[in-house]
Amino acid sequence: MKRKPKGGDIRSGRRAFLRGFGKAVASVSALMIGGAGLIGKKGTSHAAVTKHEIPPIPDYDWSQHDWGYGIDATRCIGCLRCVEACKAENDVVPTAHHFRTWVERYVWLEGEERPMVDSHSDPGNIAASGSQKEYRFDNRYQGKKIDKAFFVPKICNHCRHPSCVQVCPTGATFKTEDGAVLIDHDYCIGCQYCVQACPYGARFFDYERQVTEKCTWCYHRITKGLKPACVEVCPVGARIFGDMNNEASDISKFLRENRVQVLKPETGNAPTCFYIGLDKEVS
Amino acid sequence: MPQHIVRLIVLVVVFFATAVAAKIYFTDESFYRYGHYRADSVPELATGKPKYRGPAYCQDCHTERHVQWTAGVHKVVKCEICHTPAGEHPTTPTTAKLPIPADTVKLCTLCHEKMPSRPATQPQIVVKDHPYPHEDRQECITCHNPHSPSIGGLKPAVALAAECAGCHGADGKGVGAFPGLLGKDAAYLAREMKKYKAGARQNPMMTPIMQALSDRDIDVLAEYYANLGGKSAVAPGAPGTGSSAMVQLSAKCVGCHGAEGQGVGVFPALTGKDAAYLIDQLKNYKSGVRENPMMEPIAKGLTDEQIEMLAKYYATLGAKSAAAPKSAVTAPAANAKCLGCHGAQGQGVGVFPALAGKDTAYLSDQLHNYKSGARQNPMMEPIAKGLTDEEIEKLAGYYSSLKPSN
Repeated sequence: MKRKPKGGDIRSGRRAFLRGFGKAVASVSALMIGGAGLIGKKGTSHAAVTKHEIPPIPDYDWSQHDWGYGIDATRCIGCLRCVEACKAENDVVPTAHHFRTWVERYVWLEGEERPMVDSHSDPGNIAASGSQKEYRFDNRYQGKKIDKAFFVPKICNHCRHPSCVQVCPTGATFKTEDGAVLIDHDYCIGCQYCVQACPYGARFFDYERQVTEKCTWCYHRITKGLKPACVEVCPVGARIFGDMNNEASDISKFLRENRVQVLKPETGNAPTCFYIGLDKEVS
Repeated sequence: MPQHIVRLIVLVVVFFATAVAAKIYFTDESFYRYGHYRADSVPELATGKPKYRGPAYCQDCHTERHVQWTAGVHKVVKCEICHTPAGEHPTTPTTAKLPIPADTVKLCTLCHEKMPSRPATQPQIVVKDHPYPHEDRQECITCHNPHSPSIGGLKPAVALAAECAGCHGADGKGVGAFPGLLGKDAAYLAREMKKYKAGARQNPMMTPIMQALSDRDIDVLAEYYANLGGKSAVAPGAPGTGSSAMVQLSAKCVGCHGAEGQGVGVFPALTGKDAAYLIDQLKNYKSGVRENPMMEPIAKGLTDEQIEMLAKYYATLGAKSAAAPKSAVTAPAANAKCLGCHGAQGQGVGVFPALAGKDTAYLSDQLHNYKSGARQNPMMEPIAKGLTDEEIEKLAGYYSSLKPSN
């Protein structure tokens, strides 16, 4: 699991060239337009570029971490505490149809070739909970003959090659040095290209704020040495999180001791969310 | 160069220069610092106070609960899963008190309702088939301690409580000299039980019972009884004029003096006694003027108002029972040993089976079996061993003559 190399020689060469060219043209244009203010702005615009600078987060150096997420679907009991915890921790839009993480229930009824799939936003499950702020699975399959059934927790895969980042026209979504795919809501223009581009359906649109939303691995928690809220509350240890740079971490142990899979490997997105207990119909 | 070409070049240069100048002007200073995004957004996203604080945060103040929780199988279910995230609890008004879930059936079934998709290793119940021993209190926590529920070798609270019910009544309401446990403070109950266990408080009955229990079991029991009382409709000992309050109050008397106050064995009849006499005597017991190891603590637990209520109740009862024909069969003295658990009329209470109306031969056989040890039961054995064969015959005859209640 080697990190992909950052911008190659050709790219940085081109960037440097464009930067120099831009400055030259800007100087000319500044003279032509006579905007004194523009000169001052231009002088400071890219002066701060230094190679080893890290974001000023207290007691945290992002170059030291490579976060990874694990899901043991064989343990999940479908209690949905993770979904509620995520909503509370991150003030996610309080309806059943907006969520950063979710749990899918797969049920093969006897003799059926394809599974029935539902999650907490299914009308039957909303009715069972009686509220859009609390979540539970109803017991619709009680007494039915079932070949196979299980739960699968889902979350943003924080891909190594995130297609959402690739399509973002404004640089509002990006991948950090420590592996998280984040959204800068100041720069998000709400075009939703990223929602379309994500092969996992991990993003949603917040109509109130007119921005795209997604899981951040609780970036405000992991940078303080805590675990994401969903991992913190999972009572059965179905969700695992840790630093893949640290051999003693939960995730390193999880990856060492299990044969893991990722969702939709054919997309080339290279998720950093690893599963055990998937099945042929789960994607 | 033709003029129109020069114009075009100037136009292109002006357009390009304006575009580049605008980009430089509008692009954030930190953009491109680490990549094609605004570098300042990273520390911005990393700020924000975590709301889930973890059990270690709760431990400082809720130490005892934390100890109990870590010893049980529910230690994987962290505090904030049921009690909502602590946030700035207890410093901000919105989280000054975290909620204690009211609907425990709804809460517990989130994880423990039998569902086909759940792993078989998860303890699950079919909700509609699950027994509710306390019909009026259909909450899971009535029997199961949420902080240390039973699984494997651990007994649920309701099973532990069955051992107390023999003397303290089916619901821990207290019977005769045996004090009520219902609604007592959990910390008090746990402390006292541990004293019995350690021998710091001595009691020939309580000490061996407590020594057979683990500290976890004691905590679970204490909470079970504290919780039972908290949910009961009528607070024990509450003054009132309604008949249900009277039943609660007289519960302290009926264990020994009989359901109607008719007197049982050595315990004198209360019915038909003068109200003023009864008041005087109860007050004498209360003040210690009249000494009696059983009556004193009971009388001390009564307010003057309650004493008056009781006295009037028994005085009027007497008027009624005087008119009614006396029961054809008088109870043998040994009966006092039975009615604590099986009810004043042998009607059966909770897990204790009815005796009234059972066949004489059957009853005497079973008592003999308990006495000989052929039938084993930790409660019945010592009681049966204390009976003579004659007493057994009398008791069997007495209970078979009583009408079974419906």
